[in-house]
Amino acid sequence: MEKLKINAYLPKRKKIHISTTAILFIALAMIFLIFSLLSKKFYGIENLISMLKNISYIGIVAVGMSLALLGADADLSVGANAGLTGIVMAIANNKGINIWVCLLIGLAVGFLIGAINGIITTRTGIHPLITTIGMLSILQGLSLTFTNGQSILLQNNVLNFIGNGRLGNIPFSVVLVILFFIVFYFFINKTKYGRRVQIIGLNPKAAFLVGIKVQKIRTLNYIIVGMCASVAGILISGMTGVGMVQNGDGMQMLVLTAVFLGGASLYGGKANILGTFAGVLIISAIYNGLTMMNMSYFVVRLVRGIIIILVVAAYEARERKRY
Amino acid sequence: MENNEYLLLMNNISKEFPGVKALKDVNFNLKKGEVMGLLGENGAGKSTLIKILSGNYTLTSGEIYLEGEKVIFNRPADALARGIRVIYQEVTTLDRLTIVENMFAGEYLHRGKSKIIDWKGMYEEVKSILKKLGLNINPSTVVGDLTPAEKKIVEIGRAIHKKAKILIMDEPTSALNEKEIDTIFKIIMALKKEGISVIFISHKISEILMITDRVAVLRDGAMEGIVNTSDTNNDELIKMMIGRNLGEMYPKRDIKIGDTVLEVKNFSFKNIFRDISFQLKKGEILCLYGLLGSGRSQLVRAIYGAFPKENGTLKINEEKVDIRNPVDSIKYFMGMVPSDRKNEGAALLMDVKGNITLANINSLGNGAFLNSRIEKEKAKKWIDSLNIKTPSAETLLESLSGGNQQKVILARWLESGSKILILDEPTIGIDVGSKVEIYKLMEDLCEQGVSIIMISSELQEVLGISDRIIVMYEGNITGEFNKNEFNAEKLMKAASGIN
Repeated sequence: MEKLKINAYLPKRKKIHISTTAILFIALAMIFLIFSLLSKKFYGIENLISMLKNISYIGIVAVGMSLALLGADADLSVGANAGLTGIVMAIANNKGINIWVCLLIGLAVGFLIGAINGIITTRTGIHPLITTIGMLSILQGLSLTFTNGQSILLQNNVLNFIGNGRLGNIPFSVVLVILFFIVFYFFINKTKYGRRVQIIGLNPKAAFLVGIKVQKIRTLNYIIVGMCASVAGILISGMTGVGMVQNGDGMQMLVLTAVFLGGASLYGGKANILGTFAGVLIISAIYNGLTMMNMSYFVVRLVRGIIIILVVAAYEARERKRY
Repeated sequence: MENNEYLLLMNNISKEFPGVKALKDVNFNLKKGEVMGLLGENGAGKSTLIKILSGNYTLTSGEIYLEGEKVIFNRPADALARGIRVIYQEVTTLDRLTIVENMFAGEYLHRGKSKIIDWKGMYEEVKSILKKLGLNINPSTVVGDLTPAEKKIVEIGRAIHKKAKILIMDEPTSALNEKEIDTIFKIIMALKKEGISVIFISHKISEILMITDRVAVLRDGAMEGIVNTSDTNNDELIKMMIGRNLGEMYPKRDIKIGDTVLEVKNFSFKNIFRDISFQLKKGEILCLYGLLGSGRSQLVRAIYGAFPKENGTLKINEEKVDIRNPVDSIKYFMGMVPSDRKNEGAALLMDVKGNITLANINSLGNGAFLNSRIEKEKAKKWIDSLNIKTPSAETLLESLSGGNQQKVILARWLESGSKILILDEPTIGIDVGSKVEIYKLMEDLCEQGVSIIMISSELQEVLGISDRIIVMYEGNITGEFNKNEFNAEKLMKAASGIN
């Protein structure tokens, strides 16, 4: 009885629309503010640059993952992909192969893994999460076989520049990740390809009926994510100077955290490159800020977990409110 | 408010969704042991009313009295607890389980006070229910092996085995043939004798006239009236339903039918459609009529390249073509509007302009890039010319009414310049006003030389709009009728496989 009356006389809710991206950047600003107040070391351009450098490879994979999620696909094998890329390059480099050729071989690893993921997923109809969990394990197995569980030295000037070099005052990896974000922003939002991916993500059957080549585009998306992962692998090996299984290990979780923070949906049709950028920065700021405060890494994980659940819960609440 | 005459009273029921008034001050009542027909076009508000009565929707305003007592249903369980049962149009049986498991799903009987399932007790009870319903089948049969009619009976059994007072049947006959419909009718009469009230929803006025005591007619969310079945007739009910005489619904047009544009020859796929051949002429509206499961949807999909075929050749404008997927069909200027708008037609979470240009992304700018100015212009053109009611081209498609969504999807194919349109149930779930607009649009298109293959289950619509009708039954063509030959009786007979 009570409820009935409330429903009948409730005033029409006013629509206030704040974009996801705006909310995220406000949250990011707050996090920056809090850490700056709590720790003197946090504030400052040098720390910001080092933060960006530390998450550069996460950012590069996150843009690829955004594209995949836009089409309702996902790739969990990115971390293992990055690890294998470094190992294959290290082996090639130690055999005396030219470093530029080694880089191409590294990219080819990502291409191949992506193509296999894509072909299996689209031809068999296996859920992408399952295909790529399988692929994750296969790649780790390969990496362990190639290295016997050891790390392989990968010392080279070019690679060292890619990982640790600076263009002026800004690390090369930071320039690269910003470039990736800009290119993918246009790729996803302003190209016919991006539009087709979005349609596939929103309604794959409708996409098929209007003559969109669903399988081909989805496979291409896996290739793009795979190559993003191998670029990340190249960056990590450049930074660490070795190829080993541990490089990129577990990276997929950070990537997905960033992408979901950015407002992407596991069900497809949504991608927000700016949001993903904010997501990557939030993850990085939490890590950096808490470390500056001498908190242990355990706390970092804890806080990260709480934040992803809270933010996505807030998105869901907003979705439901529309009805 | 005591009134013992009625088992159920629904007073001034209104229901609003964002942007839509689905029900406006509807009054409805039901006597004990009565069969009440509920009639109305798609989108008239029948399902909204039923969903309110069954607790699936909460009402915006209004009151419900059951047995003289005011009730509020906030969730389906509330309505279930008061003996209100719904049998939905789509079969909802669990096909891998047995009849017993289906009927007791979620509420297995236990032996005494223990937690041990009483299979024997349930078996016996199901046996007696099935006997009452006249179905002579072992209760341990897996439901997937039953015919559609038998599944329906299992659903009825599931609904009534626990004290049902009101049984709501939503289009129970839509997938059944005449003999099976007879069986369902006998069951309804038996339920009536037991004092159960039945709300019978159907599009088929002949069935309503045959089985009901009274008929309630909804139109555009308002109750047009409740009449005694014995006092009314087909024409009156149609007029109540559509608010005008039938003749005014469908455009009168001079048929200017041209040469053959599409020739379908020997199309076969397993048992679904067999050796189907027909031709489509320029400017023609050819309707495929048949019951659910007649194979017509799969047939048109096979023509369009979206369903496999084992055999069959296709000629477009006298030229033999090989169509393997929709990419090919679009090259030959074919377009298809599927019946399942939500799952196969619309990108509901994309805006209107994106949906209008969905089949023609290549035209949205040079090279690889999208030009949003071109897209907006194209969208605006179709929003204006098809009178699509939307706040803007950037509105999400999901917030438009069914009729306007359908116009957006049609615009998609007009934008691509389609010459052959396959429309599968083009007016499903949309209001009368939009229907008339879509009929008018179909006529305009034909005048411009477009040819249309339409699938529809609404007999009135089929009779009103078609130039020619092909009837299918279990994968075969069982009749073909030209404009001056067809009538409802002939179509129904052919659709039920009676020669």
